[in-house]
Amino acid sequence: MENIATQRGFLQFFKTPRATTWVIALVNLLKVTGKLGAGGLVHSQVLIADGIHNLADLAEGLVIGLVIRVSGKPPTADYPFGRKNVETFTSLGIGVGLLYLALQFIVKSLAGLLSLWPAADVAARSVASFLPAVEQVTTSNATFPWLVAVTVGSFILSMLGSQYEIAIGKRSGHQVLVDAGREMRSDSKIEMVTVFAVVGERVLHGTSIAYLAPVLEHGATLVVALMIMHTGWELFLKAWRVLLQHSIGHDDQIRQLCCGLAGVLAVRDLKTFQIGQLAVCKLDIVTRRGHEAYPHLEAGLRDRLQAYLAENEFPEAEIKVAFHAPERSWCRMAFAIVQEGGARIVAPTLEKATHLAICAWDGAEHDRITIGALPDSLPAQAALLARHHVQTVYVFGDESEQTVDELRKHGIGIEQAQSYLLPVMGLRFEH
Amino acid sequence: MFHRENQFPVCVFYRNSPEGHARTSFAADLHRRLNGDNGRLLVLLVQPPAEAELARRTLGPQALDAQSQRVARLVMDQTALPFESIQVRAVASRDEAGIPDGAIVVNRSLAGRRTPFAVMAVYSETSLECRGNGSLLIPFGAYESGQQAAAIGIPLAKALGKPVIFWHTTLQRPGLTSSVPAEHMREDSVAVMHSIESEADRQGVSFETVVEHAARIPEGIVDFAVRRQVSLIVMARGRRTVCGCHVDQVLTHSAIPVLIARS
Repeated sequence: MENIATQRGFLQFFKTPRATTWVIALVNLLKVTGKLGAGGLVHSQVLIADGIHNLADLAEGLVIGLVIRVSGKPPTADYPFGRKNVETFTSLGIGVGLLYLALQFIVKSLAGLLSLWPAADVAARSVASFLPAVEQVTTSNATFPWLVAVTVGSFILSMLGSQYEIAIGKRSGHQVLVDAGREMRSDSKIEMVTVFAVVGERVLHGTSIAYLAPVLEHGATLVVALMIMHTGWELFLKAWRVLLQHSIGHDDQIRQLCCGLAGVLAVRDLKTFQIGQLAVCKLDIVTRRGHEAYPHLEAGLRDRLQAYLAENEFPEAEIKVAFHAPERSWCRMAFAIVQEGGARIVAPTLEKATHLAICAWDGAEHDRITIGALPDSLPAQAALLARHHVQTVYVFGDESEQTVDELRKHGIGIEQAQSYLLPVMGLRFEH
Repeated sequence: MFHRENQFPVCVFYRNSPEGHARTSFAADLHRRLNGDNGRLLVLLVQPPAEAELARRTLGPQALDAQSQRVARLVMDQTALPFESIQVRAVASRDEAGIPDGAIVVNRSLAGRRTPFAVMAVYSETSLECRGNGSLLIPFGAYESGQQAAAIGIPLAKALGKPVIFWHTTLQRPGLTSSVPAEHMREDSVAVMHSIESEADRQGVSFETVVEHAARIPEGIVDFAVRRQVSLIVMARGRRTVCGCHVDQVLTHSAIPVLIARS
C-alpha cells in the first residue's frame, strides 16, 4: 500500500507546473545538444538554426519557472488581480525573441540561396556586407543515421512535451505554460521540415540533381524561419492584446447569454479584458426589476458567464455587474376628458371635453398627471397645449378638420384613443 | 363558431403601456400553447359603473362596441392572434370579472392578494419561452401549499409538455451529520413530496426532486430558479401565513414569471 501511495505522490509531482518546467528544460537540453552537435559536424544551417531555436526555448523554460512563482502569489490590496500579467510580459518577450530569431534565419537562408548564383551573390554582398558566410552541408553514410535519429527524436520529444505542457498549463491556470506548449507544438512542425531537409539532402547526394541539395537545405531553413516567425507573431500579438486590455473576443456571445436571463432587458455596456488566464467582464445591465432582484440576477449572470468562459480557455472569471433602469425619454401628451363627479372618461372630441389631463410620459408610464378645466375657445385650447409642450392629444371620437388644423399650427398631433377608459389608456390616478 | 371548453382559459387585464403590452403578449403566447386554435383569449377592461354610465350618455350606446373592436384589433396587431380568437369584455371591477373556473389571469397587481383564480405575475417577459425552454419549478414545504401548487402546476406542465422540478429546502436536523439534505427533511414534508411525486407519475409528467439547505426560503427558490433557468415558478399561498408570505417575497425577488394558485 505504501508503495502505491509513493507512486501516486511521484505521479502527482509530475502534474505540477514546477516539475513541468524541469522536464521541459531537460527535453530542450537534449534537443540543443543533439542538434548543435550534429549540425556543427555536418555544417547544416537548418539543424543549427533549429538548435539555436531550442537553446532559446531552454532559456525560456528556466525563466518560466521563475515567472510561475511570481504569478502564483495571491492577490493583495496593491495587486487586486494578482500578478498574473507577469506571464503575459514573458509571453511578449518570447514572441519578440522568436521574431528576432526568425529574422536571422531568413537572412541566413536567403544568403544561402543567393550563393547558388555567384554573380548575384557578389553584387548583393557589395551592398549588404552584413550577409553571413555560407557553409555547405557535408553528410556521410556514417553521420546520416545519427542526423536522422537526432531530428526524428527531436520531433517526437516536441510532440510529447507540448501535450504535457499544455495539459498542465490548462490544469494549473498558467497561460505562460500553455503558450510555451503551443510554441513547442510549432517546433515539432519545424522539426518535420528539418527531417525532410536532412533526408532530402542525403537522397539527392551523388545523383545527377545533386546541385539541388543546397536549394533544399536553404529552402527548408527559410520554411523553418517562416514557421518560427508565425509562432512568434501569434505569441507577441496575444500578449500585446492582453497588456493593452483588448476585449477577450467573446462579447457577442456574452451579450446573448445575458439577454437570455429573465429580467434582463438589455446590456447597455460591456467591457472585457484579460489578466493572465483570468477574464474580467464589466456589465451594465438594463432591467425594470427592483433592487431586491439584483442579487439573484447577478448570481444568474455570474453562473452563466463563468460556465461559458471556462469552456473557452478562461478557467477563472471575474464578473462585475451594475444594474440600471431603462433610459427615459420624456414627452408630454394630453387626454381630452369629460369629468362628472368622480367619473372621468376620454371625451369624443376636444370641443365636447370639459377638462384636459396633461401627462408626462417617460416611455413606460405616465409619470405626472394634472387635470384642469379646458378654455372655451379653440385657439385658447391650442395655446394652452402649446404652452405645456404637449405633443399629442387623445380623443375617443373623430376630431373635426378645424380642430386638427388649429392644433397642427402649433405642432400638436391628435390621435384616437383605443379606449375611453383612462386607466386602460395607462393613466393611474391616485385620487 | 364553436369553441371547445378549455382546461386553462387565459385572461388578461388590458392596459396600454409597454408593461401592459408585454403582459398581453405573454397571455396570448400562453393561450396559444395551452389551447391552440380553440377558445378565445379573454381581454378584460375594468369599467366602473359610473364611467360606464358616463360613457353611455356622452359617447352613445355604440361606444362600448367600438372600444372592444379597437382593443381587439390592437391585441391582434401586438400578438398575431386571429381576431376571432380574442374576446374583449368590459367588467365592473376586477373582483366581478366573471373569470371562468380554472382560468389563469395574467396580471401583476392581483398576484399580491388571495384570489379565486390562478394569477400569473409577469415582469418583462413576452412569452413563456422567450429566454429558453425551461422546466416548471414547484417549491413545496410541510403544509398544503405545495400540494395546491402541484394541483395546477402538474396538469399545466402536462398541457405545456414540460418537465417539473419539485424543490424543497430543509434545515439541518440537530444531531444528524448526513450531508444529504433529503435526509434532514421533516416527516410531513416527506409525505407532501411523496404525494406530489405520485401525482406527477399518475399524470405522466416527468419530474425531478431537489432538496437543498437554503439560508432563506424565498431567496433559495429564486436562486435555484435562476440557476436552473426555469421558465415558470408555480406557488400557492399558505392558509396559515398572516405575515411574511413566501409568495409575496418570491414576487419581489424574482424576474422569472410566477404562477400563484387560486386560494
